[in-house]
Amino acid sequence: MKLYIKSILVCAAVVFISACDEFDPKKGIENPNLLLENVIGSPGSTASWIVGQEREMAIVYNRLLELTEIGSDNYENVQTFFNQQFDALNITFQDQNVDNLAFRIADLRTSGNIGLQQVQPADPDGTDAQRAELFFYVGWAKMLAGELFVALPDTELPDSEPATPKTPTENLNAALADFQAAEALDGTHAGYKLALARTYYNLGDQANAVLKANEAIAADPNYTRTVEFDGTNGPDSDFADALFDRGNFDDLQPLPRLDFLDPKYFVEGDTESPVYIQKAEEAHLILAEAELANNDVPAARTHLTNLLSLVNTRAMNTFSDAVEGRDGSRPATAVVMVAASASDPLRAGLVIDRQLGDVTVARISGTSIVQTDIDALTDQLVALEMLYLMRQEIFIAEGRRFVDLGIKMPISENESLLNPAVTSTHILSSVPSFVPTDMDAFTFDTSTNEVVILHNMNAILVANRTDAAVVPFF
Amino acid sequence: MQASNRSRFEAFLFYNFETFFKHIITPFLTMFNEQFMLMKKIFFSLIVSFLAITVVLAQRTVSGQITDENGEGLPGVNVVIKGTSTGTTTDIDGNYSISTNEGDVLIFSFVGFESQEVAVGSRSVVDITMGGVTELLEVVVTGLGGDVDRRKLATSVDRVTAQDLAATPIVRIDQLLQSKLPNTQILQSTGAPGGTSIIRSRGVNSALLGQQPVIYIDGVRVDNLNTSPGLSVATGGQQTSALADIPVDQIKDITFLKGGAATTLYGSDAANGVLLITTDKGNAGAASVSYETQLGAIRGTTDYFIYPDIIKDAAFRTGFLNSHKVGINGGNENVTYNFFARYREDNSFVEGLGETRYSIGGGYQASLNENLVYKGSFSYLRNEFSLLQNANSSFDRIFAIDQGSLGRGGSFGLSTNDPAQWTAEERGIVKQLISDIARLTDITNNTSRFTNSHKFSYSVLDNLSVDVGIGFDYRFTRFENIQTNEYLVAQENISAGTTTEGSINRNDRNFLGTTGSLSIKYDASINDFTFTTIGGGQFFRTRDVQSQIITTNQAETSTTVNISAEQTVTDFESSVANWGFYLQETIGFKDRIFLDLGFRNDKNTAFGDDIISEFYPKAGLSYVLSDEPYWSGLSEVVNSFKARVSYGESGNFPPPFTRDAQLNANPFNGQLAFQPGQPGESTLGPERQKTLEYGADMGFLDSRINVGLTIWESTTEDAIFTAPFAPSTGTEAQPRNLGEIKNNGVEVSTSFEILRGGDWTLSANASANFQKNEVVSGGGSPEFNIGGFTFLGPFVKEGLPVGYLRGSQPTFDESGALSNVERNADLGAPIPDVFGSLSLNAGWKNFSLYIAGDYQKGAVGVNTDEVLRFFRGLDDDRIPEASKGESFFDLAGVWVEDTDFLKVRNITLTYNVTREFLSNIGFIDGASVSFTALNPFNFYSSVFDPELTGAGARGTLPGTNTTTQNNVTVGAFGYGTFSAPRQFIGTLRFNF
Repeated sequence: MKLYIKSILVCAAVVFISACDEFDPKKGIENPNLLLENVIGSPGSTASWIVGQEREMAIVYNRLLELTEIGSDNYENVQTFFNQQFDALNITFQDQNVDNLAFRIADLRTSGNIGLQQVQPADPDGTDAQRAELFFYVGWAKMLAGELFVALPDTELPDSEPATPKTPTENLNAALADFQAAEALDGTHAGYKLALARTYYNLGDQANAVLKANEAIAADPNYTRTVEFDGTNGPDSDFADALFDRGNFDDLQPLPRLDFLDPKYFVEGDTESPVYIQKAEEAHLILAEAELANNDVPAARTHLTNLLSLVNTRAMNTFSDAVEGRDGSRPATAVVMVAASASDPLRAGLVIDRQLGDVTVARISGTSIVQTDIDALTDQLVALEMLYLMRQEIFIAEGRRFVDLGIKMPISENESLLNPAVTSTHILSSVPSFVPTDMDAFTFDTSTNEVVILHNMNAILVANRTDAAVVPFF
Repeated sequence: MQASNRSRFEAFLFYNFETFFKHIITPFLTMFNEQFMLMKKIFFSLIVSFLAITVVLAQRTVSGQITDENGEGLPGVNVVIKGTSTGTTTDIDGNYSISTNEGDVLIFSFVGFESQEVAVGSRSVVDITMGGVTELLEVVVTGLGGDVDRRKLATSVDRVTAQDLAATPIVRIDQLLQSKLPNTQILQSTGAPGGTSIIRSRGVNSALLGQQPVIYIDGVRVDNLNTSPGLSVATGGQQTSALADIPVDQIKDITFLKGGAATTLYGSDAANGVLLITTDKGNAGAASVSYETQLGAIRGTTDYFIYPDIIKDAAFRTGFLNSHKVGINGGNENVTYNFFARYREDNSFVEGLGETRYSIGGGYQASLNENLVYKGSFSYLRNEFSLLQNANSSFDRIFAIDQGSLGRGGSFGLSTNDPAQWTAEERGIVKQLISDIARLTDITNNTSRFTNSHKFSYSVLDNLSVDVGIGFDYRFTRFENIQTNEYLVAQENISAGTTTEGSINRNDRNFLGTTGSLSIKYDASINDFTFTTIGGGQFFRTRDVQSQIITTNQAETSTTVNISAEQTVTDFESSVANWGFYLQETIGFKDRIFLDLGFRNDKNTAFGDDIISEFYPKAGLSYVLSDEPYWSGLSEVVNSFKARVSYGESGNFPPPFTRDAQLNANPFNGQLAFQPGQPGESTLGPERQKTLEYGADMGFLDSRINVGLTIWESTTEDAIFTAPFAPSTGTEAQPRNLGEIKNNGVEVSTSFEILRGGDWTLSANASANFQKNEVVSGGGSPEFNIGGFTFLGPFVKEGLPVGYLRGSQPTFDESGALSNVERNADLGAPIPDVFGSLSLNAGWKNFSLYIAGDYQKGAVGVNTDEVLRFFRGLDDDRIPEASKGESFFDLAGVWVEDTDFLKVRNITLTYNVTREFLSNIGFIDGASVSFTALNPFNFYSSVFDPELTGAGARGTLPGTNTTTQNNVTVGAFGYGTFSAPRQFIGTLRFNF
């Protein structure tokens, strides 16, 4: 009997002793993640917060570029799970992409405000330059809200109740205040001046736009600011995937007259092309447009010449784009001639053959316009159309064409359900009546290798230049 | 001199000793502490097992044979000494042997037969003939406090025994139970190895969490993750599951307690039900060696393809399956054992897939003295399988044929993406491409799993017993995708000559679940009243630690992550401890009326230091009316009738730390990026499910017909919704106790014994489960999606079922032009209105035939393949010609199809070799031969396989960046993955 009792005791003791630490409920229950209170007041916290803002910009631009480029004449969404409604400008408040973009813009703004109100003031290493950057991001979020939406609330902090929606003008004016605050903290920064110039331009404030454009060029004539992606840790560039790293699902095709600028982004290993969200070219474009508004074509020519000089100094990317799939309905060889519309002349050199070795594509800015084209300008409206073509080419895949076309997204369904201040007019998109839904349509005659685009949108913009939604200085 | 030398020598020794410890032993122990702890536990557990086996008591042995009314030996009959937990089961011929004392009474029980009690007296042989089939007298394992007579249960409980499983040559628990649980639906998400399944019994009770039941093996809770882990290889929507390697080779009995009223005593996380697996601990008697071998052919099904001939020719082959299992079973009156080892290899019906499995295990039982019994079991399983990219992956090349993506834009040298137009030469190109890709694909999933349980049962008094149990389940999985430049070039993803795009994506997951339990059972009786009191406590901890390494510019042919330009590391942890105590009182009156009252009080660390306490009550009543004297007039027709009603509560906890406000801290281009993350919800608590069920178990015509009927209603209060905030607030969605979900339904299960006795036997089972699911309240939140796509996805909205499909519903005019689009329309729900199973058992002499299948009706799903074909100009005729230029966002509704189906899962014909024949051979005691066809017939209403779901569950909480696992999935997106293949398997079993 003793043997059994001993055995039992040994068994029980061995089992329970070997496992008893497992039965301590308090063991291993700490949250391994980071809390906001752990960060506030710690040295270097603002630097990481600003990196967070940069990362948020990558997310914002992933959402923004998809919608705005598909929703313009730049790209057609051939067969992807990217948004399909924007191609036909069928932009509704129930569109989840609209909701998501509004959320990301709000996230950029509210997290910037946390940085300004809580993180930077408590950071012993915090600097004025960092504070200026935080103002810049908050302003940028408000500027995007003003450019892209019929109205958006600008709730200050994440956990507060939603605010009253602001009109584009209100949002742009709010953005001005933040950019001015940034400029006040760092008066030599070309980017803040350029942001101010862009915002004044959007508001139609020609004098201030010209002032800030000139100041921006003076501060840094080659200035660029990028949104970077992280191919290793994410976010990846969704748009680079759509343009370059094409698979079964990602396939955006450019308007044939812009083929030579595609793909603006490419991927090599874990290196992904950045998106240029600010560049000195914009200052020249603003100055040229202002002169055309003054009907001073020679002065405009000077600015366009300066612009072309700058564009021609910009770097190019050379890489293999052989995996590009242009199906049979789209031009794919260099012999193809493209007309901007049935009444425009056929132009050569706009389509690249991607199967003949590496291609060279503008990394920052590219244009089909050459100096002789500029020199030949005498007519205000012809010059204005060329200027808008240059805007389209230089800003391709940067989310600007959608704004130039005067299209605005509505407030989303979720916002309308949760924010009592949203009215029935807020949930309607705004598309100028002169903007056709088949902007990226064209015919391609494979026997003659001629492409004729259905609508020359730059000509249409010029024809409707006095409409409040477009061409701000007219 | 000598002293000096000695001291120098000592100093030398000491120095080296210290150095040795400091530089070798200590780091070693530190590095391997965790592994060491684990090894220690394995070691000690094994010692316990062997110690227990060696302790033997000499008592008197009683043996005998149990036969049915036809004189056939009945295997698996429970033989228990009354008032103790000492017992055994009969062997394949119905023989048993058990150690007893003179005053003991033996209880013989077996599914479907009337239990018998026999006093041993001075006999050494007790032979029994069992008959009088009645379900109510069946003994059911409910896991806590020992076995319970079914007559006492106030809830409906399903039971499957080893005999029921014998005819199914499958080694996955969920597939094994498909068609066998009358009130539970099990859908296989993919036919590729290791895939997840959808298990639903009583609706969908959560809009956050997965629906699979918790699983216990011999009282030890095991890893039941049935969604993709937090960190995983993306293979195009197909997910892998921990259910793929739950050991099934030693199952004696499976009990399924459906969620709600039956699972209250299991507390938190039991809302989806509890699956209790009991392993075979062996039978007393001379050692019996068994050998089972299976050889089979595997053919991929082309039922659902648009170009079946092309795909069959280009991708499919006849796979080969072989399996060998050796077992030994035996013991004496005090110690019994049952050990096995199995090797199984399946090289699959498609090049690139395949699965190899090695498993060993054992169960053993020892009577340590007349009052103390030890039961233990262990299993070690290694499962290795390989996968191909499929479904939502740009690198899939097989389903791409149906989807019209091969040859698009002239890719792969094909003239068109329309397979119907391909020339013989082009078909050859496709075949070669698929073969090349399969050869170059290197996606592997290797799992090692060690599961172990120990239980001591002590009979303190005749009517008082104590059970103490402990055990653990350790599971390690490495899921890896090695992508070489050669592979990417073959995929036309990169240009030929590129050498910098190779990568490894390696995901390691360590799971350790530890369970400890104590339960006390006390029986008493006063006059006509009986009292059964069960009380106890249970503790379990799960530690789930994962890491992911992704390399870039991996050197070609290298398989270590070290040989790469850059390595990125991510980790994920989900660890939680849960403990609680329970008390249950069952009061019986005249052995006819049973009142059942109980509760569980639970604590859980899902909220960190703020350990909350949850109270789950239950109450039930069962009444065996057929035992009443007044019933005797009815008993000719209705020989048994039990009415029952039960109410119970159970819970569902969110993932750990979901309550906390957190920062998202991520690496970004070599720097640390802080961003606001989950905003936190300080009042977040578990979901609470309240279930009321009532019904009856009835036997007609001497139990030739048995009917179980249950009407149930279940409400999930405080349902956790990850609903969005107003987007302008920039606040990430946060799981909150916002909603209320209601499920209700009727469960009907029937069995018919059409022929009984004689050479012929024939019986059939059929079940039907009618269900309704509705989000009763959304707590004022807008609807939110839980998977799918932007244009068409499963959403959660007040007034509609969980996961209803939302998308645009188009209307076409007479010319076929799009006349109207209803945006965000309700396009139907993936949860069926009715589902059930059917089976047939027929016997003639030594032949038996088993046929089983299951069905569903009233659900819908999305034909995603057709959406992709639409993109590529290969659409079918569901879209009028005039609308073919419309956006697929506007056309979403046309791709939603009814997913009714009836699938025959299993047809097995078995021949048991006669004893006369075997006696001529001599050394073989028993033999059988079976032929099985798995998945032979599919009848379905949709164009795609209604069972598949390529989309799987989300890897992040809806609307957030929070990585998680075990999320709810409703399936419904059928595309681009393999259907369960047809398998034709021959099985030979021998007993020596």
